[in-house]
Amino acid sequence: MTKKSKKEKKVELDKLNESLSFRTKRRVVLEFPPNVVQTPITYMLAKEYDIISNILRAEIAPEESGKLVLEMDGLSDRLDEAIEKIRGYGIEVTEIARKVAFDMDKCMHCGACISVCLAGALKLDENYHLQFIEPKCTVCEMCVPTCPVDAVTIDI
Amino acid sequence: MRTFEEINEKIKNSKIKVLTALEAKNYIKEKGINSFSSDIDVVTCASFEMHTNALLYLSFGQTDPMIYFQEVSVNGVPAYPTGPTDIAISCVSSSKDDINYSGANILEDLLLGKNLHLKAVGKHSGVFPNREFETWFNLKDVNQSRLLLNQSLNQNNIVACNSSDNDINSHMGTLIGKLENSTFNSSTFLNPLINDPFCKTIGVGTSVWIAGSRGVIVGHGSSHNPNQKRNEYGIPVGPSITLSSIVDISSMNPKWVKPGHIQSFGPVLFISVAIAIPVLNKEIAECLSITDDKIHTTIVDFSIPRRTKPTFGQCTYAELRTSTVSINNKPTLTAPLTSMAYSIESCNELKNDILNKKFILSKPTSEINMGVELKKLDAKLGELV
Ligand code: SF4
Ligand code: SF4
Repeated sequence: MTKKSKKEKKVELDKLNESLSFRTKRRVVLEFPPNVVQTPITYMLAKEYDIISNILRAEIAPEESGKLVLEMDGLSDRLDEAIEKIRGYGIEVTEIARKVAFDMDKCMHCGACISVCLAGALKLDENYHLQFIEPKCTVCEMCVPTCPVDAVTIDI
Repeated sequence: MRTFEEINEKIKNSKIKVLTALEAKNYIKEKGINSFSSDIDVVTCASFEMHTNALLYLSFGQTDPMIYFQEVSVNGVPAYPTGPTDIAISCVSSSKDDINYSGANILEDLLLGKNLHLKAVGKHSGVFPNREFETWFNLKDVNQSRLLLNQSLNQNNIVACNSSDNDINSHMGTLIGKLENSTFNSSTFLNPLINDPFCKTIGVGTSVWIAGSRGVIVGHGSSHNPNQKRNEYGIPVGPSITLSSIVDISSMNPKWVKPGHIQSFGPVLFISVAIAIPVLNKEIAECLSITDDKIHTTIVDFSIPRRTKPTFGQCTYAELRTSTVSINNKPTLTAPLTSMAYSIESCNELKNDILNKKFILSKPTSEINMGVELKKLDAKLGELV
Protein backbone atom coordinates (compact mmCIF):
# COMPACT_ATOMS: atom_id res chain seq x y z
CA MET A 1 0.00 0.00 0.00
CA THR A 2 1.23 3.47 -0.76
CA LYS A 3 1.77 5.82 2.13
CA LYS A 4 -0.87 8.48 2.39
CA SER A 5 -0.52 11.87 3.96
CA LYS A 6 -2.44 12.64 7.16
CA LYS A 7 -4.74 14.98 5.29
CA GLU A 8 -5.53 12.44 2.61
CA LYS A 9 -6.22 9.90 5.31
CA LYS A 10 -8.54 12.32 7.11
CA VAL A 11 -10.48 12.99 3.92
CA GLU A 12 -10.77 9.27 3.39
CA LEU A 13 -11.95 8.74 6.93
CA ASP A 14 -14.60 11.41 6.58
CA LYS A 15 -15.75 9.85 3.35
CA LEU A 16 -15.88 6.56 5.13
CA ASN A 17 -18.01 7.94 7.92
CA GLU A 18 -20.30 9.58 5.43
CA SER A 19 -21.04 6.48 3.44
CA LEU A 20 -21.44 4.51 6.66
CA SER A 21 -19.62 1.64 5.03
CA PHE A 22 -16.97 0.35 7.36
CA ARG A 23 -14.18 -2.09 6.91
CA THR A 24 -15.42 -5.59 7.17
CA LYS A 25 -14.00 -9.07 6.78
CA ARG A 26 -15.12 -11.69 4.33
CA ARG A 27 -13.87 -15.21 3.82
CA VAL A 28 -13.83 -16.72 0.37
CA VAL A 29 -12.69 -19.93 -1.28
CA LEU A 30 -10.98 -19.34 -4.63
CA GLU A 31 -10.76 -22.26 -7.05
CA PHE A 32 -8.20 -21.68 -9.77
CA PRO A 33 -8.25 -23.48 -13.10
CA PRO A 34 -4.69 -24.63 -14.11
CA ASN A 35 -3.91 -21.70 -16.42
CA VAL A 36 -4.46 -18.84 -13.95
CA VAL A 37 -2.67 -20.17 -10.91
CA GLN A 38 0.07 -17.58 -11.17
CA THR A 39 -2.26 -14.58 -10.93
CA PRO A 40 -0.98 -12.39 -8.04
CA ILE A 41 -4.39 -11.97 -6.45
CA THR A 42 -3.39 -10.55 -3.08
CA TYR A 43 -1.18 -7.89 -4.68
CA MET A 44 -3.99 -6.85 -6.98
CA LEU A 45 -6.48 -6.72 -4.07
CA ALA A 46 -4.21 -4.48 -2.04
CA LYS A 47 -3.22 -2.20 -4.87
CA GLU A 48 -6.51 -1.74 -6.65
CA TYR A 49 -9.11 -2.29 -3.92
CA ASP A 50 -7.32 -1.43 -0.67
CA ILE A 51 -8.09 -4.90 0.63
CA ILE A 52 -5.84 -6.61 3.13
CA SER A 53 -5.87 -10.33 2.48
CA ASN A 54 -4.90 -13.06 4.81
CA ILE A 55 -4.30 -16.51 3.31
CA LEU A 56 -5.89 -19.06 5.61
CA ARG A 57 -5.22 -22.14 3.49
CA ALA A 58 -3.49 -22.72 0.18
CA GLU A 59 -3.43 -25.83 -1.98
CA ILE A 60 -1.67 -24.67 -5.08
CA ALA A 61 0.80 -26.64 -7.18
CA PRO A 62 2.30 -25.33 -10.44
CA GLU A 63 0.52 -26.43 -13.64
CA GLU A 64 -2.42 -27.83 -11.64
CA SER A 65 -5.73 -26.43 -10.45
CA GLY A 66 -5.56 -24.95 -6.98
CA LYS A 67 -7.56 -23.77 -4.02
CA LEU A 68 -7.06 -20.77 -1.78
CA VAL A 69 -8.99 -19.83 1.35
CA LEU A 70 -8.69 -16.10 1.79
CA GLU A 71 -9.83 -13.62 4.39
CA MET A 72 -10.36 -10.22 2.78
CA ASP A 73 -10.54 -7.09 4.89
CA GLY A 74 -11.84 -3.97 3.19
CA LEU A 75 -14.78 -1.70 2.56
CA SER A 76 -17.92 -3.59 1.80
CA ASP A 77 -18.57 -2.24 -1.74
CA ARG A 78 -14.90 -2.56 -2.68
CA LEU A 79 -15.07 -6.19 -1.61
CA ASP A 80 -17.99 -6.78 -3.96
CA GLU A 81 -16.10 -5.17 -6.83
CA ALA A 82 -12.97 -7.17 -6.09
CA ILE A 83 -14.87 -10.46 -6.07
CA GLU A 84 -16.32 -9.62 -9.48
CA LYS A 85 -12.85 -8.84 -10.76
CA ILE A 86 -11.49 -12.17 -9.48
CA ARG A 87 -14.36 -13.99 -11.16
CA GLY A 88 -13.36 -12.22 -14.38
CA TYR A 89 -10.08 -14.13 -14.32
CA GLY A 90 -12.04 -17.36 -14.57
CA ILE A 91 -11.56 -18.11 -10.90
CA GLU A 92 -14.49 -19.61 -9.05
CA VAL A 93 -15.32 -17.65 -5.87
CA THR A 94 -17.42 -19.10 -3.07
CA GLU A 95 -18.11 -16.98 -0.01
CA ILE A 96 -17.99 -18.65 3.39
CA ALA A 97 -20.82 -17.27 5.40
CA ARG A 98 -19.66 -15.91 8.75
CA LYS A 99 -22.01 -14.73 11.41
CA VAL A 100 -21.79 -13.50 14.94
CA ALA A 101 -24.10 -15.20 17.41
CA PHE A 102 -25.29 -13.82 20.74
CA ASP A 103 -25.92 -16.25 23.59
CA MET A 104 -28.82 -14.50 25.27
CA ASP A 105 -28.68 -16.79 28.32
CA LYS A 106 -25.18 -15.53 29.04
CA CYS A 107 -25.79 -11.91 28.03
CA MET A 108 -26.28 -9.53 30.96
CA HIS A 109 -27.25 -6.57 28.73
CA CYS A 110 -24.35 -4.43 29.87
CA GLY A 111 -23.89 -2.71 26.52
CA ALA A 112 -20.12 -3.04 26.12
CA CYS A 113 -20.53 -4.61 22.67
CA ILE A 114 -22.70 -1.72 21.48
CA SER A 115 -19.84 0.72 22.02
CA VAL A 116 -17.69 -0.93 19.32
CA CYS A 117 -20.44 -1.62 16.79
CA LEU A 118 -19.88 1.28 14.41
CA ALA A 119 -22.24 -0.34 11.92
CA GLY A 120 -25.16 0.26 14.31
CA ALA A 121 -26.25 -3.37 14.46
CA LEU A 122 -26.48 -3.37 18.24
CA LYS A 123 -28.64 -1.32 20.57
CA LEU A 124 -30.67 -1.48 23.75
CA ASP A 125 -34.43 -1.68 23.43
CA GLU A 126 -36.79 0.39 25.62
CA ASN A 127 -36.43 -2.19 28.42
CA TYR A 128 -32.64 -1.92 28.25
CA HIS A 129 -32.25 -5.37 26.69
CA LEU A 130 -29.65 -5.98 24.00
CA GLN A 131 -31.05 -6.06 20.49
CA PHE A 132 -29.11 -7.43 17.50
CA ILE A 133 -30.22 -6.03 14.16
CA GLU A 134 -28.59 -8.66 12.00
CA PRO A 135 -29.12 -7.10 8.55
CA LYS A 136 -26.93 -4.17 9.63
CA CYS A 137 -24.10 -6.44 10.85
CA THR A 138 -20.95 -6.30 8.73
CA VAL A 139 -19.32 -9.16 10.68
CA CYS A 140 -16.44 -6.90 11.66
CA GLU A 141 -16.14 -9.04 14.82
CA MET A 142 -15.25 -6.10 17.06
CA CYS A 143 -17.94 -7.14 19.53
CA VAL A 144 -16.53 -10.64 20.04
CA PRO A 145 -13.53 -9.85 22.29
CA THR A 146 -15.34 -6.88 23.88
CA CYS A 147 -17.97 -8.95 25.67
CA PRO A 148 -16.83 -9.52 29.27
CA VAL A 149 -18.79 -12.76 29.62
CA ASP A 150 -18.07 -14.38 26.23
CA ALA A 151 -21.66 -14.17 25.07
CA VAL A 152 -20.67 -13.38 21.46
CA THR A 153 -19.18 -16.05 19.23
CA ILE A 154 -18.40 -16.44 15.54
CA ASP A 155 -20.43 -18.95 13.61
CA ILE A 156 -18.97 -20.27 10.37
CA MET B 1 -43.11 12.05 58.42
CA ARG B 2 -41.74 8.49 58.89
CA THR B 3 -39.02 6.85 60.92
CA PHE B 4 -37.01 3.70 60.27
CA GLU B 5 -38.87 2.05 63.15
CA GLU B 6 -42.28 2.84 61.65
CA ILE B 7 -41.19 1.53 58.27
CA ASN B 8 -39.94 -1.76 59.74
CA GLU B 9 -43.19 -2.07 61.71
CA LYS B 10 -45.12 -1.68 58.44
CA ILE B 11 -42.96 -4.38 56.82
CA LYS B 12 -43.83 -6.74 59.69
CA ASN B 13 -47.54 -5.94 59.39
CA SER B 14 -47.58 -6.31 55.59
CA LYS B 15 -48.60 -2.65 55.27
CA ILE B 16 -45.46 -1.47 53.54
CA LYS B 17 -45.72 0.57 50.32
CA VAL B 18 -42.58 -0.04 48.32
CA LEU B 19 -41.66 0.95 44.76
CA THR B 20 -38.57 0.37 42.66
CA ALA B 21 -36.62 3.46 41.59
CA LEU B 22 -38.02 3.09 38.07
CA GLU B 23 -41.59 2.87 39.37
CA ALA B 24 -40.97 5.80 41.73
CA LYS B 25 -39.99 8.13 38.84
CA ASN B 26 -43.15 7.21 36.95
CA TYR B 27 -45.27 7.60 40.08
CA ILE B 28 -43.89 11.09 40.74
CA LYS B 29 -44.41 12.07 37.12
CA GLU B 30 -48.04 10.95 37.23
CA LYS B 31 -49.20 11.80 40.73
CA GLY B 32 -46.74 14.42 41.93
CA ILE B 33 -44.23 14.63 44.72
CA ASN B 34 -46.75 15.30 47.52
CA SER B 35 -48.76 12.18 46.92
CA PHE B 36 -45.52 10.23 46.55
CA SER B 37 -44.04 11.39 49.84
CA SER B 38 -47.26 10.77 51.75
CA ASP B 39 -48.10 7.36 50.21
CA ILE B 40 -44.78 5.60 49.56
CA ASP B 41 -42.57 4.31 52.38
CA VAL B 42 -39.56 2.83 50.62
CA VAL B 43 -37.84 2.96 47.21
CA THR B 44 -35.43 0.23 46.10
CA CYS B 45 -32.36 1.34 44.14
CA ALA B 46 -29.68 -0.86 42.58
CA SER B 47 -26.62 -1.11 40.43
CA PHE B 48 -25.30 -4.09 38.50
CA GLU B 49 -21.83 -3.08 37.53
CA MET B 50 -18.24 -4.18 37.27
CA HIS B 51 -16.13 -4.49 40.43
CA THR B 52 -12.41 -4.83 40.84
CA ASN B 53 -12.18 -4.08 44.57
CA ALA B 54 -13.58 -7.42 45.65
CA LEU B 55 -12.02 -9.70 48.24
CA LEU B 56 -13.33 -13.12 49.14
CA TYR B 57 -12.62 -14.25 52.70
CA LEU B 58 -12.86 -17.95 53.56
CA SER B 59 -12.42 -19.40 57.03
CA PHE B 60 -11.78 -23.16 57.24
CA GLY B 61 -11.67 -25.54 60.18
CA GLN B 62 -8.38 -26.94 61.47
CA THR B 63 -6.68 -29.99 59.90
CA ASP B 64 -5.23 -32.96 61.79
CA PRO B 65 -2.30 -32.68 62.40
CA MET B 66 -2.75 -28.93 62.61
CA ILE B 67 -1.61 -26.54 59.91
CA TYR B 68 -0.60 -22.88 59.76
CA PHE B 69 -1.15 -21.80 56.15
CA GLN B 70 1.88 -20.34 54.45
CA GLU B 71 1.11 -20.73 50.78
CA VAL B 72 -2.38 -21.52 49.53
CA SER B 73 -4.14 -21.81 46.22
CA VAL B 74 -7.77 -22.55 45.30
CA ASN B 75 -8.31 -24.04 41.84
CA GLY B 76 -4.88 -22.63 40.99
CA VAL B 77 -5.76 -19.06 42.08
CA PRO B 78 -3.25 -17.82 44.67
CA ALA B 79 -4.82 -17.06 48.07
CA TYR B 80 -3.35 -15.02 50.93
CA PRO B 81 -3.20 -16.72 54.33
CA THR B 82 -4.79 -14.51 57.00
CA GLY B 83 -4.50 -16.85 59.97
CA PRO B 84 -3.82 -20.54 60.60
CA THR B 85 -6.67 -21.75 58.35
CA ASP B 86 -8.14 -18.55 56.87
CA ILE B 87 -7.52 -17.17 53.42
CA ALA B 88 -8.35 -14.10 51.36
CA ILE B 89 -8.71 -14.31 47.58
CA SER B 90 -8.83 -11.32 45.32
CA CYS B 91 -11.63 -11.62 42.78
CA VAL B 92 -9.33 -10.09 40.17
CA SER B 93 -6.39 -12.49 40.51
CA SER B 94 -6.11 -15.27 37.97
CA SER B 95 -5.19 -18.91 38.20
CA LYS B 96 -1.56 -19.73 37.41
CA ASP B 97 -2.70 -22.36 34.92
CA ASP B 98 -5.56 -20.54 33.24
CA ILE B 99 -5.66 -16.75 33.08
CA ASN B 100 -9.38 -16.90 32.29
CA TYR B 101 -10.13 -18.45 35.68
CA SER B 102 -10.20 -15.85 38.45
CA GLY B 103 -11.21 -15.28 42.05
CA ALA B 104 -14.59 -14.12 40.67
CA ASN B 105 -15.00 -17.60 39.14
CA ILE B 106 -14.27 -19.11 42.57
CA LEU B 107 -17.10 -17.04 44.04
CA GLU B 108 -19.47 -18.19 41.30
CA ASP B 109 -18.40 -21.84 41.62
CA LEU B 110 -18.93 -21.75 45.40
CA LEU B 111 -22.44 -20.37 44.90
CA LEU B 112 -23.15 -23.07 42.32
CA GLY B 113 -22.24 -25.69 44.94
CA LYS B 114 -19.19 -26.93 43.02
CA ASN B 115 -16.20 -28.64 44.62
CA LEU B 116 -12.98 -26.65 44.54
CA HIS B 117 -9.39 -27.77 44.93
CA LEU B 118 -7.52 -26.41 47.95
CA LYS B 119 -3.76 -26.80 48.08
CA ALA B 120 -1.77 -25.55 51.05
CA VAL B 121 1.80 -25.51 52.32
CA GLY B 122 2.15 -25.17 56.10
CA LYS B 123 4.67 -23.17 58.14
CA HIS B 124 5.73 -26.36 59.91
CA SER B 125 6.24 -25.42 63.56
CA GLY B 126 5.94 -27.41 66.78
CA VAL B 127 2.24 -26.76 67.26
CA PHE B 128 1.40 -26.73 63.54
CA PRO B 129 3.45 -29.59 62.10
CA ASN B 130 1.36 -30.13 58.94
CA ARG B 131 3.63 -29.33 55.99
CA GLU B 132 1.39 -30.06 53.04
CA PHE B 133 -2.34 -30.36 52.69
CA GLU B 134 -4.69 -30.92 49.78
CA THR B 135 -8.46 -31.36 49.63
CA TRP B 136 -11.65 -30.71 47.71
CA PHE B 137 -14.20 -28.47 49.37
CA ASN B 138 -17.48 -26.70 48.65
CA LEU B 139 -19.37 -23.85 50.29
CA LYS B 140 -20.86 -26.18 52.94
CA ASP B 141 -17.38 -27.15 54.18
CA VAL B 142 -16.41 -23.57 55.04
CA ASN B 143 -17.03 -22.01 58.48
CA GLN B 144 -17.44 -18.49 57.15
CA SER B 145 -17.41 -17.05 53.68
CA ARG B 146 -17.56 -13.32 53.24
CA LEU B 147 -17.11 -10.87 50.44
CA LEU B 148 -15.67 -7.42 50.94
CA LEU B 149 -16.64 -5.01 48.18
CA ASN B 150 -14.55 -1.97 48.86
CA GLN B 151 -16.32 -0.03 46.15
CA SER B 152 -19.72 -1.66 46.42
CA LEU B 153 -21.40 1.52 45.22
CA ASN B 154 -20.10 4.37 43.15
CA GLN B 155 -22.02 7.60 43.14
CA ASN B 156 -21.10 8.56 39.61
CA ASN B 157 -18.57 7.78 36.93
CA ILE B 158 -17.13 9.34 33.80
CA VAL B 159 -17.54 9.03 30.05
CA ALA B 160 -14.41 7.54 28.48
CA CYS B 161 -13.24 8.40 24.96
CA ASN B 162 -10.00 8.45 23.01
CA SER B 163 -8.73 11.23 20.75
CA SER B 164 -5.49 9.48 19.77
CA ASP B 165 -4.95 7.67 16.46
CA ASN B 166 -4.91 4.18 17.92
CA ASP B 167 -7.52 2.12 19.72
CA ILE B 168 -7.11 1.68 23.47
CA ASN B 169 -8.32 -1.33 25.43
CA SER B 170 -9.23 0.04 28.84
CA HIS B 171 -11.29 -0.94 31.87
CA MET B 172 -13.94 1.25 30.23
CA GLY B 173 -14.02 -1.05 27.19
CA THR B 174 -12.42 -0.70 23.77
CA LEU B 175 -12.03 2.97 22.96
CA ILE B 176 -11.69 3.49 19.24
CA GLY B 177 -9.27 6.25 18.23
CA LYS B 178 -10.23 9.66 16.79
CA LEU B 179 -13.27 9.87 19.11
CA GLU B 180 -15.16 7.18 17.20
CA ASN B 181 -16.83 5.86 20.34
CA SER B 182 -17.22 6.39 24.06
CA THR B 183 -18.49 4.48 27.06
CA PHE B 184 -20.17 5.38 30.34
CA ASN B 185 -20.61 3.29 33.42
CA SER B 186 -23.37 4.01 35.92
CA SER B 187 -26.88 2.84 36.73
CA THR B 188 -27.67 6.59 37.00
CA PHE B 189 -31.31 7.15 38.06
CA LEU B 190 -31.43 3.66 39.63
CA ASN B 191 -28.22 4.16 41.64
CA PRO B 192 -28.77 4.45 45.43
CA LEU B 193 -26.18 7.22 45.77
CA ILE B 194 -27.80 9.27 43.00
CA ASN B 195 -31.16 8.93 44.76
CA ASP B 196 -29.65 9.91 48.10
CA PRO B 197 -26.81 12.17 46.93
CA PHE B 198 -25.80 13.48 50.36
CA CYS B 199 -26.22 10.15 52.21
CA LYS B 200 -29.10 11.42 54.35
CA THR B 201 -30.46 7.88 54.84
CA ILE B 202 -27.41 5.77 54.01
CA GLY B 203 -24.58 5.41 56.52
CA VAL B 204 -22.34 3.01 58.37
CA GLY B 205 -24.53 0.08 59.39
CA THR B 206 -27.08 0.44 56.60
CA SER B 207 -28.35 -2.89 55.30
CA VAL B 208 -27.36 -3.56 51.72
CA TRP B 209 -28.70 -6.26 49.42
CA ILE B 210 -25.84 -7.90 47.56
CA ALA B 211 -26.76 -10.64 45.09
CA GLY B 212 -29.66 -11.71 47.31
CA SER B 213 -27.77 -11.70 50.59
CA ARG B 214 -28.10 -9.07 53.31
CA GLY B 215 -24.84 -7.27 53.97
CA VAL B 216 -23.82 -4.13 55.74
CA ILE B 217 -22.12 -0.89 54.80
CA VAL B 218 -18.92 -0.49 56.78
CA GLY B 219 -17.93 3.00 55.66
CA HIS B 220 -16.64 4.93 52.70
CA GLY B 221 -14.82 2.91 50.05
CA SER B 222 -11.94 3.06 47.59
CA SER B 223 -11.43 6.38 45.78
CA HIS B 224 -14.09 8.06 47.95
CA ASN B 225 -14.04 11.70 46.91
CA PRO B 226 -16.90 13.59 48.58
CA ASN B 227 -15.40 16.93 47.50
CA GLN B 228 -16.23 16.37 43.84
CA LYS B 229 -17.96 19.33 42.21
CA ARG B 230 -21.76 19.01 42.18
CA ASN B 231 -24.32 20.29 39.71
CA GLU B 232 -27.35 22.43 40.63
CA TYR B 233 -29.30 19.29 41.63
CA GLY B 234 -26.63 18.22 44.09
CA ILE B 235 -25.30 15.43 41.88
CA PRO B 236 -21.50 15.17 41.58
CA VAL B 237 -20.27 15.59 38.00
CA GLY B 238 -17.80 12.72 38.23
CA PRO B 239 -16.69 9.94 40.61
CA SER B 240 -17.54 10.96 44.16
CA ILE B 241 -18.90 9.02 47.15
CA THR B 242 -18.10 5.30 47.26
CA LEU B 243 -19.24 2.79 49.86
CA SER B 244 -17.55 -0.28 51.26
CA SER B 245 -19.67 -3.30 52.19
CA ILE B 246 -19.25 -6.73 53.73
CA VAL B 247 -21.63 -9.56 53.03
CA ASP B 248 -21.98 -13.26 53.81
CA ILE B 249 -21.93 -15.15 50.51
CA SER B 250 -23.68 -18.29 51.75
CA SER B 251 -27.17 -17.01 50.94
CA MET B 252 -26.29 -15.32 47.65
CA ASN B 253 -28.08 -16.15 44.43
CA PRO B 254 -25.57 -17.00 41.65
CA LYS B 255 -27.90 -15.32 39.16
CA TRP B 256 -26.57 -11.94 40.32
CA VAL B 257 -22.90 -12.86 40.23
CA LYS B 258 -21.05 -12.91 36.91
CA PRO B 259 -17.31 -13.34 36.57
CA GLY B 260 -16.14 -11.30 33.60
CA HIS B 261 -13.02 -10.58 31.65
CA ILE B 262 -12.13 -7.21 30.15
CA GLN B 263 -9.90 -7.33 27.10
CA SER B 264 -6.26 -6.42 27.88
CA PHE B 265 -7.30 -5.54 31.43
CA GLY B 266 -8.12 -8.79 33.17
CA PRO B 267 -10.73 -10.39 35.39
CA VAL B 268 -13.54 -8.42 36.99
CA LEU B 269 -16.62 -9.27 39.01
CA PHE B 270 -20.10 -8.18 38.01
CA ILE B 271 -22.39 -8.25 41.04
CA SER B 272 -25.70 -6.72 41.99
CA VAL B 273 -25.87 -4.24 44.86
CA ALA B 274 -29.13 -2.68 46.05
CA ILE B 275 -30.27 -0.40 48.86
CA ALA B 276 -33.75 0.41 50.11
CA ILE B 277 -34.13 4.15 50.64
CA PRO B 278 -36.76 5.13 53.22
CA VAL B 279 -38.91 8.11 52.25
CA LEU B 280 -38.33 9.72 55.66
CA ASN B 281 -39.43 13.22 54.64
CA LYS B 282 -40.25 15.55 51.76
CA GLU B 283 -36.59 16.43 51.22
CA ILE B 284 -35.71 12.78 50.59
CA ALA B 285 -38.75 12.44 48.35
CA GLU B 286 -37.42 15.35 46.26
CA CYS B 287 -34.05 13.61 45.93
CA LEU B 288 -35.80 10.43 44.77
CA SER B 289 -37.43 12.31 41.90
CA ILE B 290 -34.09 12.72 40.09
CA THR B 291 -34.01 11.68 36.42
CA ASP B 292 -31.23 11.25 33.85
CA ASP B 293 -31.60 14.77 32.39
CA LYS B 294 -30.51 16.17 35.77
CA ILE B 295 -27.49 13.90 36.21
CA HIS B 296 -24.27 15.19 34.67
CA THR B 297 -20.98 13.45 34.07
CA THR B 298 -17.56 14.43 32.71
CA ILE B 299 -16.13 13.31 29.37
CA VAL B 300 -12.53 12.16 29.83
CA ASP B 301 -9.94 11.59 27.11
CA PHE B 302 -8.02 8.35 27.73
CA SER B 303 -5.37 9.10 25.08
CA ILE B 304 -2.93 10.22 27.77
CA PRO B 305 -2.26 7.46 30.31
CA ARG B 306 -1.69 9.80 33.26
CA ARG B 307 -3.51 10.41 36.56
CA THR B 308 -4.86 13.74 35.36
CA LYS B 309 -6.41 13.39 31.94
CA PRO B 310 -7.79 16.02 29.58
CA THR B 311 -11.57 16.41 29.57
CA PHE B 312 -14.12 17.44 26.95
CA GLY B 313 -16.62 19.08 29.28
CA GLN B 314 -19.83 17.61 30.62
CA CYS B 315 -23.03 16.04 29.39
CA THR B 316 -26.15 14.50 30.93
CA TYR B 317 -27.02 10.81 31.02
CA ALA B 318 -30.20 11.64 29.11
CA GLU B 319 -27.96 12.64 26.18
CA LEU B 320 -25.81 9.55 26.62
CA ARG B 321 -28.83 7.26 26.56
CA THR B 322 -29.65 8.45 23.03
CA SER B 323 -26.51 6.52 21.89
CA THR B 324 -24.89 9.59 20.36
CA VAL B 325 -23.09 12.31 22.25
CA SER B 326 -21.22 15.31 20.92
CA ILE B 327 -17.57 15.20 21.93
CA ASN B 328 -15.38 18.06 20.74
CA ASN B 329 -18.20 18.87 18.27
CA LYS B 330 -18.09 15.39 16.82
CA PRO B 331 -21.16 13.14 17.08
CA THR B 332 -19.76 10.09 18.83
CA LEU B 333 -21.27 6.67 19.40
CA THR B 334 -21.75 6.01 23.10
CA ALA B 335 -22.83 2.94 25.05
CA PRO B 336 -23.20 1.90 28.68
CA LEU B 337 -21.16 -0.70 30.57
CA THR B 338 -23.56 -1.05 33.50
CA SER B 339 -26.50 -3.36 32.95
CA MET B 340 -29.70 -1.37 33.41
CA ALA B 341 -31.79 -4.49 32.78
CA TYR B 342 -30.11 -6.34 35.65
CA SER B 343 -30.21 -3.23 37.86
CA ILE B 344 -33.97 -2.95 37.34
CA GLU B 345 -34.42 -6.65 38.07
CA SER B 346 -32.36 -6.28 41.25
CA CYS B 347 -34.61 -3.39 42.38
CA ASN B 348 -37.57 -5.72 41.83
CA GLU B 349 -35.89 -8.52 43.74
CA LEU B 350 -35.22 -6.30 46.77
CA LYS B 351 -38.77 -4.95 46.57
CA ASN B 352 -40.12 -8.51 46.72
CA ASP B 353 -37.84 -9.37 49.64
CA ILE B 354 -39.25 -6.38 51.52
CA LEU B 355 -42.84 -7.33 50.67
CA ASN B 356 -42.10 -10.89 51.80
CA LYS B 357 -40.60 -9.58 55.07
CA LYS B 358 -37.22 -11.05 54.20
CA PHE B 359 -35.44 -7.72 54.28
CA ILE B 360 -35.82 -5.01 56.89
CA LEU B 361 -34.15 -1.62 56.94
CA SER B 362 -31.51 -0.58 59.42
CA LYS B 363 -30.81 2.86 60.75
CA PRO B 364 -27.18 3.92 60.25
CA THR B 365 -25.04 3.87 63.37
CA SER B 366 -22.95 6.74 62.07
CA GLU B 367 -22.71 8.97 59.02
CA ILE B 368 -20.53 8.45 55.95
CA ASN B 369 -17.40 10.56 56.30
CA MET B 370 -17.94 13.49 53.95
CA GLY B 371 -14.93 15.47 55.09
CA VAL B 372 -12.09 13.31 53.83
CA GLU B 373 -9.87 14.35 51.00
CA LEU B 374 -8.89 11.90 48.25
CA LYS B 375 -5.18 11.32 48.61
CA LYS B 376 -2.70 10.67 45.85
CA LEU B 377 0.14 8.18 45.93
CA ASP B 378 3.41 9.64 44.79
CA ALA B 379 6.80 8.02 44.53
CA LYS B 380 9.39 8.96 47.13
CA LEU B 381 12.89 8.08 46.10
CA GLY B 382 15.93 7.63 48.29
CA GLU B 383 16.10 7.35 52.06
CA LEU B 384 13.23 8.47 54.25
CA VAL B 385 14.49 11.34 56.38
S1 SF4 C 1 -19.75 -8.12 14.13
FE1 SF4 C 1 -20.54 -7.23 16.03
S2 SF4 C 1 -19.61 -5.17 16.12
FE2 SF4 C 1 -19.37 -5.90 14.01
S3 SF4 C 1 -21.16 -5.11 12.94
FE3 SF4 C 1 -21.72 -7.17 13.63
S4 SF4 C 1 -22.70 -6.84 15.61
FE4 SF4 C 1 -21.61 -4.95 15.11
S1 SF4 D 1 -21.11 -7.16 25.88
FE1 SF4 D 1 -21.85 -9.30 26.11
S2 SF4 D 1 -23.05 -9.27 28.01
FE2 SF4 D 1 -22.77 -7.13 27.42
S3 SF4 D 1 -24.61 -6.65 26.21
FE3 SF4 D 1 -23.04 -7.32 24.74
S4 SF4 D 1 -23.36 -9.53 24.50
FE4 SF4 D 1 -24.49 -8.91 26.33
